[in-house]
Amino acid sequence: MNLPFAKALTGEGDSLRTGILAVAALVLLAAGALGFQWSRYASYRDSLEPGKRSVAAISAAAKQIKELEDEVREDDKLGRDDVTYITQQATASNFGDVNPKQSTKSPAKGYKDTIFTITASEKERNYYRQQLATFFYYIEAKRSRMRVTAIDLRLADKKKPEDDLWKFTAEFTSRTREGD
Amino acid sequence: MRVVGIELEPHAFRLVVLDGTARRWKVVGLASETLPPAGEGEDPQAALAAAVENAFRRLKAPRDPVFATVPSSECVFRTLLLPFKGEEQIRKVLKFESEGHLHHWNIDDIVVDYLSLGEAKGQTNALVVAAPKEVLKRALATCEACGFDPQTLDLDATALFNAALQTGALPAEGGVLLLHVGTRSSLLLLVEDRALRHIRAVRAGLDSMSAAVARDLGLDPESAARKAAELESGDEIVVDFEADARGDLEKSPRVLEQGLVAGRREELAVRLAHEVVRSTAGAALQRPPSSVLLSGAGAALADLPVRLSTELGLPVTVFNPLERVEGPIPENDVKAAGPLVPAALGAALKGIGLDATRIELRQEGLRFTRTFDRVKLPLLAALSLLLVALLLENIYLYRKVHDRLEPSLRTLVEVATGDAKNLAKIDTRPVESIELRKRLPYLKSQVEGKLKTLREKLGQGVDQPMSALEAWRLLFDKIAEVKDEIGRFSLDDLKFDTVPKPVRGGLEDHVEVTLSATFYGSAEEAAPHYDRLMAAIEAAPWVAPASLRRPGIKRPPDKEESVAEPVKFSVIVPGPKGGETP
Repeated sequence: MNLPFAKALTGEGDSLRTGILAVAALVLLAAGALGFQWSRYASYRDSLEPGKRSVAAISAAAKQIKELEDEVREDDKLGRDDVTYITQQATASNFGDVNPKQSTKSPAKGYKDTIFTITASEKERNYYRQQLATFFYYIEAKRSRMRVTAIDLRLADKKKPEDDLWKFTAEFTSRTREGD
Repeated sequence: MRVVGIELEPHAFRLVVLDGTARRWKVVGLASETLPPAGEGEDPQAALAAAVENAFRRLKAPRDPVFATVPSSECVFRTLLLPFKGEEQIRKVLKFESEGHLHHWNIDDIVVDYLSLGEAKGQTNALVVAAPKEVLKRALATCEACGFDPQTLDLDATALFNAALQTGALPAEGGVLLLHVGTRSSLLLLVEDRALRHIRAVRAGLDSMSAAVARDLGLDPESAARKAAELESGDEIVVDFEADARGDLEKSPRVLEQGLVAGRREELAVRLAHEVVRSTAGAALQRPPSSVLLSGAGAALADLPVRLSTELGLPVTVFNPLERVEGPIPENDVKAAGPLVPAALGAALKGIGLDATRIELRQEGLRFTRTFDRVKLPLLAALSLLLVALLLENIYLYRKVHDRLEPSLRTLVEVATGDAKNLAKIDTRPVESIELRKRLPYLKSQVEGKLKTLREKLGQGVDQPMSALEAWRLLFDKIAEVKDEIGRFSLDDLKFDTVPKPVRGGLEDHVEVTLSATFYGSAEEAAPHYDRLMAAIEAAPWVAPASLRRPGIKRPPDKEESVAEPVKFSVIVPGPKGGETP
């Protein structure tokens, strides 16, 4: 049988040189393969510890998601859009009808404020401070992304110091980051 | 390419430096030296090595490649009829076939090579050369001492033939005798139609003639050699021994000496002629030599060609190969050294590929090996070991990844996928198509992305504006606190405005409060109440320092009560930010 490398490995003449070249080529290939195996090994080894931390983080985040989704469901019950929410809270707090007007502005770069300007639907109607405070409290308490950011109270009809009827204008603001 | 050919003898060397290729070459350096006999305690090899080293330096000759010759007088020649044709076949059996013809040597102690004299009917007529390994080792040791390792070891006889052939000294047709008379021995080469037919080394040379003269005249060898060579520049001395020899002796001792020297020369010529005749008869040539080419130290003896010509009945001419080649060698050197160096020249010609005989005595363990050749086998072994080690390491790493790391990572991915799927309600089907190591980062990004979206939806994660309602509560709590100290009063207008102020990295809000109030009673009564309220507000921790503007209180002439001008201050609501409910 005539094996191509048999003669080379017996070391006769230039065949030995060919044998060296062939083995050197194999060594290079094996070194390349080792490099690949090593990088694979290092990659697996290095991804194991961060992997454990990732699993913990994923688990914690997943639990938070579950809780937040419950919150979102509750929030959705209060009205998916903010105008509906405001109207609902006005009703719930026995405040009566309101007339929200929506606008936006950017208080600083990267922020967007959605502003709802609230006035009474009936111009002549006056409100007790207690009524106003209750309505505002409902607005802030049930939707954490909404704040009362302006209250303008004007005394409606003062005859005695104890008189407490007011006309009002208010602004509710929901702030978000622009670009999110 | 520069190559060196060198002919080494125990007390002499001849060196030729060639430059060029097989197509065009020239002799660029030449050295020939015969050393005096070593004195007592002197190492003849060291003296020779020093002389050769000196010649190499002087000629700027390369130490590699060098092609050397060994004396044919140390070897044995046999003409054998081998039952094979073809070089490969013959080389396989040459040693075995030669063994029966070399009785006085152990076959393991010699190196054998051959020269084909002709092939016929599946047989090869071969001129076999046998050289003792001991002689070759000695020659190589001398070379090593001289500072070089010759690529080949040729015979001086075949190198001589090579030089004669390559310089065109041999006629295309007819027989020629190449006679090289050296100091210790002489070479007889019979050439027929430019083909070497017979080699013979005769242990007769100038040294044997000098030794005879020394005996005759009672001289030391050095003086005898000088005396033997003295005649070369003089006229031919003819001594008639049949005349009255005694009378001549009495007349002139010098004539006697000359007569003795001439006699010894004659003796040498006769012996050489006798050997030539024997060799020619034994060689059974179809074309016997019709001329003689004389070279070697013997060629410098002026009367030797004439004597040989007389004895052989053939024309004898001095063979000076340098007269036939190009080169920058001075004419005097060409004339003096030319006949001495044909063997060295033939060896050098071998180095540029002009080799008529292809005799190589560096065989078996004496083979020429370059540094790389010497390390080839260890290198191959080392590379093979390295290869095995690399393969084992490859397997080890593969097993480590496959058996340990990958299953561990897979378990982690399964746990994370379960949480992402069951708790976070994330579609985990795409995970299956992602490479294992990238699954956890993918799941993490998906889960965190969803978490962020939900938080934003709920207003978390963003600093929400400051609550004007909270500022309201703080103000009315403070008023209630000091109610008993500020008498009767009523609020007229109230205004709370949350003002955002951009700062590095976010917003810092405050609530600007504008308050108008009426205090009942005389001015003297109202003023302290007003001051008390203002002091209480100013002292509150949630009021921005120095933000209170209090224009004062006045009583309109037609009124009973005092009216406070609008008071302004800023409230910084304490408590959490970022969407948390205050």
